[in-house]
Order: sequence, then structure tokens, then C-alpha cells
Amino acid sequence: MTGRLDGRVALVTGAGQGIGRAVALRFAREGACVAALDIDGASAERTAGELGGRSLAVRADVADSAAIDAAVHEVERTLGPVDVLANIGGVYGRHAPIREQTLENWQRVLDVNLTGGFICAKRVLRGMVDRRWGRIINVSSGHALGGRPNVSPYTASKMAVIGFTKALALEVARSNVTVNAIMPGITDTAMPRMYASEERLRAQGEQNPMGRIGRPEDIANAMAFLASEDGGYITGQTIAVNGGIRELP
Amino acid sequence: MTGAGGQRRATSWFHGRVAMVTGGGSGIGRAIALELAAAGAAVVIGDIVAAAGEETAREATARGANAIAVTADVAREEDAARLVSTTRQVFGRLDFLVNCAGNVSVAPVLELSEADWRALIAVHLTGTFLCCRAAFDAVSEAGGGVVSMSSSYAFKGRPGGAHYSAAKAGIFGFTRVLASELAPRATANVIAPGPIDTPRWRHGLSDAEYAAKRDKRVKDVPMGRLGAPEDIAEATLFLLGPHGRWITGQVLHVNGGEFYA
Repeated sequence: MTGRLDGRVALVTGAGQGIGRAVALRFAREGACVAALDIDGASAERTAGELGGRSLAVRADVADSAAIDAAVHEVERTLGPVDVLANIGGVYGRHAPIREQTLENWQRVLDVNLTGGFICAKRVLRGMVDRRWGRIINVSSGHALGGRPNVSPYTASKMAVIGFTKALALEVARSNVTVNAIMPGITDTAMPRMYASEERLRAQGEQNPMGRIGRPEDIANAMAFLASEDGGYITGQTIAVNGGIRELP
Repeated sequence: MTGAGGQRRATSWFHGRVAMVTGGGSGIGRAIALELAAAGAAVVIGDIVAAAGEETAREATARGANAIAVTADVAREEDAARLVSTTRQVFGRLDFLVNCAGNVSVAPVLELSEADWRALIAVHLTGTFLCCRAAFDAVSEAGGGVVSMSSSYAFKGRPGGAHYSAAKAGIFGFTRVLASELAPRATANVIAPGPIDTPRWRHGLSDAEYAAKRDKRVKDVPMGRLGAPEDIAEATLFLLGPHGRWITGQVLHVNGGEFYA
């Protein structure tokens, strides 16, 4: 089943680790030329080193529009215009109740998780519209629905991503550009370990209808589908990839 | 628009309680402030436009309520803190927070400047966070509630409004966390209004243009009319009132059946 992304250029943000790394690897295996972007340049290099073929590592903060402009310019020059954008770069922020959340933390989480997706999408969108082919895939989170205490900035940003996804999808649908969001449940990466012990992660897996927490590859599978020709009539949607833990609103 | 419901509420629940309404100078916020006043609550009207907030406060006072206006930009953390500290100084408590403050700009993502994106999210979403943070302890102590305005566009998207849909969806996500943190003492919910006939909705339109826009929009609304600001006010008072005490973390769609969530 290789080759669903043959000839495509994909930009994957947050590609240095976790879900982003798995998506970059999967897109490359599907035939795409992949630009692995991360704010941590060394981790982007590591992922790009695993990709082989035509790939590129780029260091940039997704919330910095000048840096993203330069980064995408380099991708275009080296690999070609971007056909697929996977907005995966994100931060969890400080775990604290609302009354102790700082504006600085709130702002940083929104800047990366929400405004970063806007900045990257806007930068690559013109080319997608002009070429009448494009895929933008955002990452929400099961937290968007969970309403657990102490994660107000992250939850707000990840629900906002869903609103953004729906609106942008309507704007560019006639240009054959699809925009969707993936809503991972708890996934086996570094991020849940910022707030949950190994024991807690095991318990989460046992409670999950499918008997395990997600793997980064589970998310990559769904993203590869949405990025491919097969996903071409799906837009504005939020697809939960979570082992069946919770329904969408 | 004080109905029988308002009079019942006045004696049983809202009397002696204090509500703060951001964006209370016009439209939906104004209608909510006046309905709360009519129901017997003291109201604090926050608005970035001083004259608008003061006009609502005068109208609330004329209806027999204690009311003050505070000029504030909810996107500024010192202003959000001042809204709450002023309320507590003047009235000694704060039971209810209603987040209605919002700004508007319309542009497709390809033409939307980062500045306009950020400015809209700052007021709607960050402003809601800042006001909720400032009011958290008071609302919790009082056993009251928070209602924040989302929008049907958060759930169905809107071309030219990616920032608006994002901000209004973000308010919903934020509110779920707020609800979990305010429980079991106080509630937090969002209302997602459909098309509401507000001054902003009519802004810049001639009578003929307004009628054309209304007639076109109403085609999507099974109830056959635009919503009135009072439709949202009634829903808000329900969620904050004695009959809404076991409803929290929810979205109430008040949209004339425009879509079914």
C-alpha cells in the first residue's frame, strides 16, 4: 500500500517527536517528500535523517509568521510547493487551575496550538488553491471534549482548532482543498507523561474500549488516509482516533 | 421584556444577587443585563464603549435595579480584574458572570491579517478567560454561575470567519474546564446563538439591504424569524436561574432550529 502520496510534498510541523514524527515517517513511506519542521532543530534533523529520500529538516516556531514564511520558502525551493500540511506542532502548557493560570501561559498555548495552525495554513493555502489540490490536517485533542480540570488553555486551543477547521474547510472546498482535524485520545508520546504516571497510562489503556492507549502510528494512519486521494471528499470534519472512548458533540 | 417568568424569578432567586455582563452596552449583552435587572439582580455593565455601558445602566436603573457601568477592555488583564474588584467594592459580591464582549471582522484566511486574527481571539476567547479567572472566587463563593456566548458558527463554520469560529469554539472548550473547576459550587455553560437581530447585525445596512439580508438568512431558520436579543437573555436567565442548577459544562443552542446539534 505504498505510494498513496507519490509526488506530493508534505509539511509536517512538530515532526521532531511523537505524533509528528510518526506522521512524517508514514507520509514518506507513502511516497511524499516530507519537510520535518520543529522548533527543536536537532529533533527535526533526527526525524529527517530517518526519512531518507527527498526530505528536509526545518527549524521554526509555528507561532512566528516570519520564521514560517522563511521555512516554507526553503521547503518550496528544496522540495517544491506544499500539497499537504499537517499542523501537529503543539504545547501542553502549564497544568494549573484557571485561577492560577497566567496570561503568559494562556497566550503561549493559544499561539502555538491555534495561531500556529492559522499561520502555517495561510502560508501554504494560496498555492493549494491555485493548483486546485491541497490537504490541511489539524490536530485537536480528546481534551477538547473532556473538560478535565487544570488544562484550560490547552482545552480552549484544541476546541478552537475544530472551529477553525470547519470555517476554513468551507472557504476552500471549491478549490479542492480539504481541511480536517484529527482528535487523538491519549496517545503513547511524551505529552501525556507531562501529567500522567506510567501507572495511570496503563490504567487508561485498560479502561479504553480497545484495551490500549493510542500509538502515534494510529494517528499517522488516519492522517495518511485524509492526505491521500482516498480522503478527497472529506472536509470540515473532526475524526476521533481514540479507541472508542467518547463520542463527538 | 419582563414576562411572568421574570417576575417569578425576581422573588425566588435573582433578588439580592449581583451579575456582571461584559459587552452589556449593546445587542445581546444589553438585553441580558436588562432582563437580569428586571428579575431583581444588581447589574454591572462592562463595555469598552463608555456611553453604551452607561446607557444600559441608566435603563436598568429605570427598571428599578441597582446598576453601574464600568468601562473596560476585557482583553486587558488589568481591566478584567478591575471589573470584578469594582463589582465587589460596590455590591460586596458577584454571583453571575455573563461573557458577551466581542469584536468582529470578516475575511477569508487568505486575506485575513495575523493582527485581525489575534485581535478577535484576544477579545472573545482570551477576554472570556481573563474575566472568568478574575471572577472565579467570587462566583464560586456565591454559588452562582457563568454563561458565555459561543455561536452557531463555532459548530458549523463560517466562510470569512475562521478566527470567529475558532474563538467561539475555544470558548466552549474553555467552559468545559471552567465547569469542572467550579463544580460543585457553581455552574458554567455556553449559549450558541443563531442569527440574532442586533445593531451589529444591521450595521451599515439600509432598510432595504437589511430586509434582504434578513429574508435570505431566515430561509435557513425553521422558526421563520431572526432571533431577538431577548431570546438569548431568556436562555441565559434559565441557565443562571433556579431551574438551571444541575446544568453545567453544556452548550445550549438557541437558533430557531437553524441546525440540530
